[in-house]
Amino acid sequence: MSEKTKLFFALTLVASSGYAFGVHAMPNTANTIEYKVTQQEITGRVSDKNGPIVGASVSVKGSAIATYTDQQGRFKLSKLNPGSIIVVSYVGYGSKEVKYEGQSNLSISLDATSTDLDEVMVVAYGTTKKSTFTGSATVVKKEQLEKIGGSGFAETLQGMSPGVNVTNNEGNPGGDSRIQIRGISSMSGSSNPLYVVDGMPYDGQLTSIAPSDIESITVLKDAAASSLYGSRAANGVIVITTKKGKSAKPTLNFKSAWGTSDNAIGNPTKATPEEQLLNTWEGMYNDQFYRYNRTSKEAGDWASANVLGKLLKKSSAGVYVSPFKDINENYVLHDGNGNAYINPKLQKIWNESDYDYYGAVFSRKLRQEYNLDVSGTAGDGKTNYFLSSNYLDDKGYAMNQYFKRYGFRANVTSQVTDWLQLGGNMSFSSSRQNLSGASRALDFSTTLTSPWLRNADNTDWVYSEKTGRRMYDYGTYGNNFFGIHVLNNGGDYWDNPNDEGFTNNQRNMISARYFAGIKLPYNLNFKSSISIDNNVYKEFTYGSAVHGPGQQAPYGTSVLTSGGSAGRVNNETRAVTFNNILTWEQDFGTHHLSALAGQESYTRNVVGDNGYGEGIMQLGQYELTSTTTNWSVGSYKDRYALLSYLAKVDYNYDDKYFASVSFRRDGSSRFHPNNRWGNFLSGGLSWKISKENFLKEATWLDNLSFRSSYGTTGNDRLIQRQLNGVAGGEFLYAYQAYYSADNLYGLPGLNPKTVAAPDLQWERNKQFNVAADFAFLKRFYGTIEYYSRNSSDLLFYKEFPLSAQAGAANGQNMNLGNLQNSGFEFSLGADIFRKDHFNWKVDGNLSTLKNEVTYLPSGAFTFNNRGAGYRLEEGHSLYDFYMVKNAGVNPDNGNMQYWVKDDKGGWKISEDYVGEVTSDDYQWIGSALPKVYGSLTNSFKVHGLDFSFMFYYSLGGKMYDYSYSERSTLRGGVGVTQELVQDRWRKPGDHALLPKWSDDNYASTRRASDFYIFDNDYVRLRNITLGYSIPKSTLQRLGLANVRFFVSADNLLTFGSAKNRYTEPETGLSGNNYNGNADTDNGRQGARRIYTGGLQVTF
Amino acid sequence: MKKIFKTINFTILASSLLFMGSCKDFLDTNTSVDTEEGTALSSAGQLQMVLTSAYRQLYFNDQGGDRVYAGLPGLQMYVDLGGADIVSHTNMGGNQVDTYKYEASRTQTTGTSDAIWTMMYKIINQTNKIIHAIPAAQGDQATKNQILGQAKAIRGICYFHLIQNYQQTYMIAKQKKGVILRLDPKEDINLPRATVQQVYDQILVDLGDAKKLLNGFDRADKWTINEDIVSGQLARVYLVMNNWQGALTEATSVYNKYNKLMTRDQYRSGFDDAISNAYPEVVWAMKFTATNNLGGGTQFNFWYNQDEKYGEGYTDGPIYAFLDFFADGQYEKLFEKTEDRYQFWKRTKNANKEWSTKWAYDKYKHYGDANGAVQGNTRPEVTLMRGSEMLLIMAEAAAHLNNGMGLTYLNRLQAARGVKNLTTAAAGQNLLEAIYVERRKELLCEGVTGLYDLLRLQKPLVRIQETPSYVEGHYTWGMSNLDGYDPKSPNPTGTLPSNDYRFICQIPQLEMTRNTALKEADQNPFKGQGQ
Repeated sequence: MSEKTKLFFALTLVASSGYAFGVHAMPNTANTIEYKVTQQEITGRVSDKNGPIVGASVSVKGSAIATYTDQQGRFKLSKLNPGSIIVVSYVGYGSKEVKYEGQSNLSISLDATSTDLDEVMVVAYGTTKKSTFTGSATVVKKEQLEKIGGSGFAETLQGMSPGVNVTNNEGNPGGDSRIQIRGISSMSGSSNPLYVVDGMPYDGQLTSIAPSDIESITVLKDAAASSLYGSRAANGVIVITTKKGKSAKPTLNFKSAWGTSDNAIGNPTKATPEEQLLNTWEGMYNDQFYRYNRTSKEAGDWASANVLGKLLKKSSAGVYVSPFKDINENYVLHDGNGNAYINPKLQKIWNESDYDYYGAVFSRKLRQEYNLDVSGTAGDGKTNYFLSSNYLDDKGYAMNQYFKRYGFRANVTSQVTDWLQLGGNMSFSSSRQNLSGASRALDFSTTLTSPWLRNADNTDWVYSEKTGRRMYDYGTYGNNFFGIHVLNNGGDYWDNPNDEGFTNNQRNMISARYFAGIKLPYNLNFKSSISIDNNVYKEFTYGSAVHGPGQQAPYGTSVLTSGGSAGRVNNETRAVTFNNILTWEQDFGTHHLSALAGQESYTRNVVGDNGYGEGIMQLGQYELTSTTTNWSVGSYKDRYALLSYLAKVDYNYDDKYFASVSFRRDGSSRFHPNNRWGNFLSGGLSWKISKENFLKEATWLDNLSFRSSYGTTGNDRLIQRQLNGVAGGEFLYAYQAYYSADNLYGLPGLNPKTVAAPDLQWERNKQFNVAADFAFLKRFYGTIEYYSRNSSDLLFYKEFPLSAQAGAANGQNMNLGNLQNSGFEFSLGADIFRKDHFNWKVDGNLSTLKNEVTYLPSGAFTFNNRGAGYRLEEGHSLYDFYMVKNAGVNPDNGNMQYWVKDDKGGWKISEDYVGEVTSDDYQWIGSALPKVYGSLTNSFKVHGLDFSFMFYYSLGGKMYDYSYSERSTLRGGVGVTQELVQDRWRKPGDHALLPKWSDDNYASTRRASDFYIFDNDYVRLRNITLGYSIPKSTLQRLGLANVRFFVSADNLLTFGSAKNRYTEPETGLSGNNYNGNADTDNGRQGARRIYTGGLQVTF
Repeated sequence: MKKIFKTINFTILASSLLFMGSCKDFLDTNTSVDTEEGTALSSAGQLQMVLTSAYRQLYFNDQGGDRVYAGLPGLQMYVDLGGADIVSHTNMGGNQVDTYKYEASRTQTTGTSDAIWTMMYKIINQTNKIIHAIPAAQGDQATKNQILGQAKAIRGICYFHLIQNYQQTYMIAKQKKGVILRLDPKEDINLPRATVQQVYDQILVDLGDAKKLLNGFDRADKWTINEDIVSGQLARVYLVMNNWQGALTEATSVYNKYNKLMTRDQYRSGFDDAISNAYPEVVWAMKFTATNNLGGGTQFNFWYNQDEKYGEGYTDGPIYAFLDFFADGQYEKLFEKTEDRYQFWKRTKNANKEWSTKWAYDKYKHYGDANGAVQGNTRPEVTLMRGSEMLLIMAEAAAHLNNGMGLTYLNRLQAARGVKNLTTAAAGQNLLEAIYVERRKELLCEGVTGLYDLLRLQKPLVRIQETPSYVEGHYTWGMSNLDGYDPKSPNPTGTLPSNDYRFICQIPQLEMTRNTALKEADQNPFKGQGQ
């Protein structure tokens, strides 16, 4: 950069951030602020008609001075200038402004109101009053978050805000949730919003923030609310505000909760050993009798003679090891007419628990949680502090999984002088997670074998000589072993006496935020903030050296031939944000004007390394040091940077008409220097119609206002859409062409990786929002909103024709295609009863979503993901199922039939899937995305009791139930769920749901079709909580402020058809539940029920 | 106070100015692990690395599919599973079973018609980058010629595999739409299908150029392509084109250097150590190693090939035996029980009749790196071209040329394999048929007979199913997609007529939708005989 340009930039900065003004104006005016006025100390009391209000906010308008009322409703302010306006507010009450005219004692009374219009909410780069806000945002408060017993705040957001769809599709403790704010606006399906913690963007695991530290969460949904975040707000913004000190007296808060969990959808039961024998016999008989034309007797004889060999192989002792004592005759007999029965001489010698695979994997375990925090203010409210520590240990439901987290946080803000405010927020979070869980091997196992190893003559179990525990059986006696054991990966890095494989991770995160606010003349305020999020991630993997196929005696102490393996992944992410914001606020009579200008820089640096090795021959050792062969290592560093300028103006006339305009200019390192910068503008209007004279008479109307906004946000995050429609990796160096290392036999190689894309530019997201807010009869309130988001120039990794691909360079980054998301959002509430000792409140919300590809220049195409077929085409959603339709089972022969096109363009029924079904016969089946979702919450308060329950619902989506296809198909090695297969074809004339079983050719009995697509409407009792608070009168004698006991349950009940198939309704984005979740394919279980009970004490 | 105020302000201002001063650098980022394209294409040394990576794709295709699509070693299975001589169980489901069953997986929408296409074009386009960049690259001419020669050879080989899988054989399809000819990285990404003739012309140009450029190139490894491999490849191409003289000349030139055929002991010990044991007849081979390993997905693991003494489970032996591939009963009948290549036995101790009734076969056996202990790693060496194949090409070409040498060449191989009843037909169809049978016997699962010979020779596929009296036949799932199959007949037989399009892949869906130069009418039919 030349000197000239540097100078230019310097001047630009000075001008844009208003520094020049601040610096030059300061010397002349500083004195006036500091010394001119006389100041006094005053006390006051806030009450309503029932008595004092505890915890009401008391602040001085235009200053940072703020305090809260104590247990007697009292507050104290000092150094107040006469003429200052004191603002008092409390949730559920209208706020009140009182002019200080030198009184030494103030008595202020508040009126209850049904609206929270005067509430202050945290928005982009500041706060605002809800009534003056022209954008669309929802505030979720700590009282709502506290009820849910999850691992992080993300899962607790489910159902809390209209327009925000949260799917908790990983039931393992510490698992991630998927959050979509107003649909999906990227071709990859990725929809991660921007997270902002205490004013600064947050780069870390969502579960690293203890929900108990959170005061409130604001979800910014439209352009007016979020476009100040410019390029980072394309998927909406979630603004998290942590707790701060409130009352002059130190408040000590302690909460502990204990509980347990299980699966929200109960586990299925596998066919019993007898049923499994008969099932397999039936499939074999069907093949012989129907396909190969043998007589019923011949077919039955053949099936009886061969069924055991089909399922089991003889042990070295020459017997079949199974739950039965081996007899030297057929286990399954038949009557010669196709009816089989179990040989009465069979004698069961195992217990049911010995072949209960689900029981082996799942058990209820302890979940415990403790929070302790102290908070308060000092120096007459000029310094507030909050110190917290918390511990969570959730051991989950499956195997050895757990999530443990220690969290510490310190929040201090101090008004150092009249003009200087300093504050900081430092948190440390340390977590450990064990990812053992349910795997697809749960489907691929039958009750004729056991998870545990039996001896060869089936007389005893084989025990480990190291631990005395039963060894696992890796297909020793069963045919069709899946290759993965249900109890695979049941070890733990920190505690692994049985030498089992494991996948663990550890995160240590320091998140530091610091700011300085300076009050300048002419109502100007300057704030400079810096934050660093430092996230250290370590992953530990171990492939057992002892347990596995090929394990040998002496068991538990002899090492596998190739030994064990160990892997380690380390990475450290350091994200730094630095911003400088100048704000200004001025009243001109009834005109109120405020403005903001600033600059922000952001960098994210990641350094990582990983290692892997095999051949661990030592027992009890899991480090790379113990590996002896086949090493591989890697390391990298990545950097991403963003530079931004922003400005905003708000105007308000008479608290009746509101307008706001905001602008942001972003430069991103992902684009070529010529196309780096993008400008994002938005505007909003709002009209508080209830304040107009013509509605003055309508006293029943508490509030009626309209608002609307339009604007753009941008996106530079380029995420690959994989062939199966699932989001892949992220391109950090989106415009550059690279070759990656690709070595052969130790010789260096270079493989094309990316293709240059110098023309790549910002993706644009045009958002329109219109809304009406209303409240009436001091009892009912709500919002109706419509939005439309048009995303254009979508960043897309466009894949070339297959014949034009080289190496990993399958395509080129480009701006391509448009997507539209639109919908209505309704949120309605009512204070049905509001009596002194009985409160009943109902809150509900409902959101609709229409997701549509509006422009796809690369042309429509079909894709599939684990059996489910889709088509991406203009006029349809991102995940519309597109498959052949089944036409039911032919009663004559038991074959599944399909609808295919005939020669005349009509439809005919065909059984010949292989020969006749082509993509020409596919039909639109519906979208995987729900059309409507929301929640309904009822809260009651009766004396000291509080009770609430919340239902969450999701309607109109479809799912491809892969798990059902596995549990309902007879297949080698797979134990069906017997109750799901009762309605199957067995003889000509049967009108059955499922086709005739085949053992030879199971695939012909479960072809991919809409047979496995189901309406996925479901309703969940998301949370139910019952609490009891000891009366204040009793507590005062004990010196306690609050004591509450509570019991709570999450996901206690689920309604919907998925449950009948033992299927978790919360699926991956594409609506396929392969392995529980096709999008992450992680083999973990679905949502859990969490039961907790506990105690909350405030001193 | 005033002073402090000023100081703070100036400090913040100064720091932000400093920060802004480097703002251009601030937004410039680069990857720490990859090489910029300009560098990668700048010199012979760098282009040699691009070539090494192309070899890796050719042998492993580890960015693409697995098993039968895992580079040339995987494709060997694909080619032979489409014939009649292998029986595949469903134990380890996957694309090798689909191939065996003739599932509709060669169709554009439901299947894996993209797998071979993508594998080959990724390599072709990588060699195109080398071929395009080499004239201007830094480096001495000899090195550049070696790189260019290998790149052209690889391109020719890839086009040869493509054209055999995406259109009927040359002799009946010269003017039909073949595959897309991509020769230059700078040309339009949307190109139409060239004719079969044009594709073969290009293959001959590439292999011809390669042969000249690699003249005198002394390779360090069996996996590096030299003049001999190019000649052998030319012989294979000429065989398809019925250019008998060309085939004879090229095959002879290779055979003369690799004519010491494997001994009985060598043949029966399996093909796993073809490089390490330096079998003189091996022209071309690759290997699986600890650093480049997809060995677990090779035919060494799919064949049910381990000795009975290890037990009958898939985890009992020195490697994972997926218990999948057996030799067909008809195939076993082709052999004399005393000849070197008779390596069949039934696994009578296995409790499952589906396995115990079939012929286990251990032409391919590889006992891993564990010295016979259970569950070692499978890192075999895979033969891609042998002197024996050249001898058989010579026999076939000579038989067509009717120069009297056809039978001599055939008998030479038969004698080397310990066959007692040597073929006596001196000429004509009987001799050609005997040569074809010998190819199947000698070259099973080396990726040159199976499907490729059926197409080249325009023969039908005929499989005979197992019955209670003929238990060693094909499984039912190997029959149900074939024509004329009646499970209830006493000898259930299934066929694919000669030149049926079910042998051939359709153009992949993602090619059809993304390549604007292709119209629906350009698609291959899925079934029906080509003319």
